[in-house]
Amino acid sequence: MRPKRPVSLVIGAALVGLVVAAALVSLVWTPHDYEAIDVAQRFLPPSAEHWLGTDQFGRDVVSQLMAGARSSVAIAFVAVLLGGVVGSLMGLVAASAGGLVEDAVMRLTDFSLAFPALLFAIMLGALFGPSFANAVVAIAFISVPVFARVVRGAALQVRSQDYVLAARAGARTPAHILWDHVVPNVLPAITVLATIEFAIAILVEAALSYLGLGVQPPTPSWGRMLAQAQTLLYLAPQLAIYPGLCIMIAVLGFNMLGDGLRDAADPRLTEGR
Amino acid sequence: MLAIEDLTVAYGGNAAVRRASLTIAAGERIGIVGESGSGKSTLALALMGMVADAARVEGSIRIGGIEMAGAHEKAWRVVRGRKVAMIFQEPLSALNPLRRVGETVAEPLRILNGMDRNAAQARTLALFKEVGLPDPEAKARQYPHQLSGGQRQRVLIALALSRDPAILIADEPTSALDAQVGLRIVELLNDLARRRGMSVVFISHDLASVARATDRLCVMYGGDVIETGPTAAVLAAPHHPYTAGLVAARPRIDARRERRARMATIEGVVPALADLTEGCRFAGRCRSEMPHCAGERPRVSISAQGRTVCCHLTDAAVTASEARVFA
Repeated sequence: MRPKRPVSLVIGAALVGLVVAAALVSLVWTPHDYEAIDVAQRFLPPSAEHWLGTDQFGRDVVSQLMAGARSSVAIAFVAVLLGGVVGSLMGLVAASAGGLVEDAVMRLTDFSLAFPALLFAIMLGALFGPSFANAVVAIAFISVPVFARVVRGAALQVRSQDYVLAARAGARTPAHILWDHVVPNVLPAITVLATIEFAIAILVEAALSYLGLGVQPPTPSWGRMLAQAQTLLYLAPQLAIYPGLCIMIAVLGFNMLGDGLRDAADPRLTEGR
Repeated sequence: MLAIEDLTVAYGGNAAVRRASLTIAAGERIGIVGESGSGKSTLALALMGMVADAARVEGSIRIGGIEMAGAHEKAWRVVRGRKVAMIFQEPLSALNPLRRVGETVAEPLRILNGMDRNAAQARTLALFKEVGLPDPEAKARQYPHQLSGGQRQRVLIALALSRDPAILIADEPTSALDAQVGLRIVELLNDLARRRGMSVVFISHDLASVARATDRLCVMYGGDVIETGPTAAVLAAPHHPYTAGLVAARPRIDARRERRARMATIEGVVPALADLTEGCRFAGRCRSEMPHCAGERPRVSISAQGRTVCCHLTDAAVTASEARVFA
């Protein structure tokens, strides 16, 4: 019997696919040059030429949104990869080593979790100046303790399973047990968490860009488009709505993908009896 | 093959196993029975060198003539799987859910015995055949959740046998299975013990399967070995009041016809680890309790038939003519 594919997986994958596709396509093609300013063509309504109209400088909104997806996806991807690898390793080390090492690692994560995440990112941006790399580091920094905590918990749970006991009884070394049993069995948890952290990363990136601490002009970003549209809210509310919608789609998509993956990643659910 | 002497395993100040002594001959099938908390699983883990790091192990565990008590993890890895192997109560949780069961068995053969992929594969299938798995080729490609409980236990037995251990420890191997399947696992273990000349340590609280699976019996209570002897003899005429209570509490079908249909029970519960006293640990629940039982640990009496009992009653009753006594 094959269980029904979860709806959230399909919708989540579609939304994420849309965002990622937009980001990838923007590398080679956008409807217009997203940096091209044409004051004569300001605030145009949607048309065949400009699908979502133009902004206050006459730039094509669709092209800007596509290029903005690039920044969001790139920053979120690198940040979550970095935070995920570092955090997961910390969690695995803590769970395997136990004792003083575990205490040290977990108190460190407690300490960083106690910081308001966004404020911390803003502080980093303000301290070291706004740049792609700093945004990545700030966002990765936020996700490290979350990964460490979740992975440690999952690893401890796996280590208490009888198959780890059986592996020990079969003379396997701790390194083998970690690699053969613990890592594969915590991977689903890491995957699910990564998608959720991806959503958070996109939100934080938008927030940083909104505050001018993310990628710098003229590189487009959803957060900065939002910030610039703010002053024109009465004149052209659609300029705020479009990037807002994009952020929403991306965040919703990754959250739903995470939900769906949690169910799909398990051979107990996908390989029938 | 295996000799335990004065083995104590303590967590903090509390002994989960207290000065236990037991020998297991090559090819012998020995049963360890007791309630939850009697120390039987701790004893089994001690035989694998797998008690928690925090536990204190004293006394002697000699496996194939080599002293293993207090041995380093590295020394234990030489013994595990090759001299002593273990199967577990819950066969589903003892198999990695993300691995095909054939790979679970073949991988240690490749890495620890240095076999190449084909040799390990062939050996796995031979093992699956030996433990009576139907259609070994197909089963090897399946995941644990796709097998039945009995088949999973057979896979675990194949895994335990893969490096030809001299002793197989079976920690309640039938408790999670239904009665018929459990029975067939017991038969399989009997077969394997006979064919391979392998010793079996069969841990259980089910006297019916112990009676089928073992030659000799070791009854534990509150961390103490209180009675040992040939299984049939011990079950037919238990010496220790606790063993007698266990035997009386066996569910029996003909009991229903009797007027008093209530099953016999032993009043009270096994004391918690922290509440264990110096004296006989069955004191307080024992119907034949004497004033000094709670304060003083009974000596071990050995009968001419090779039975041992650890009880003040026997201790007081033995005469030099029928048995000898040692401290």
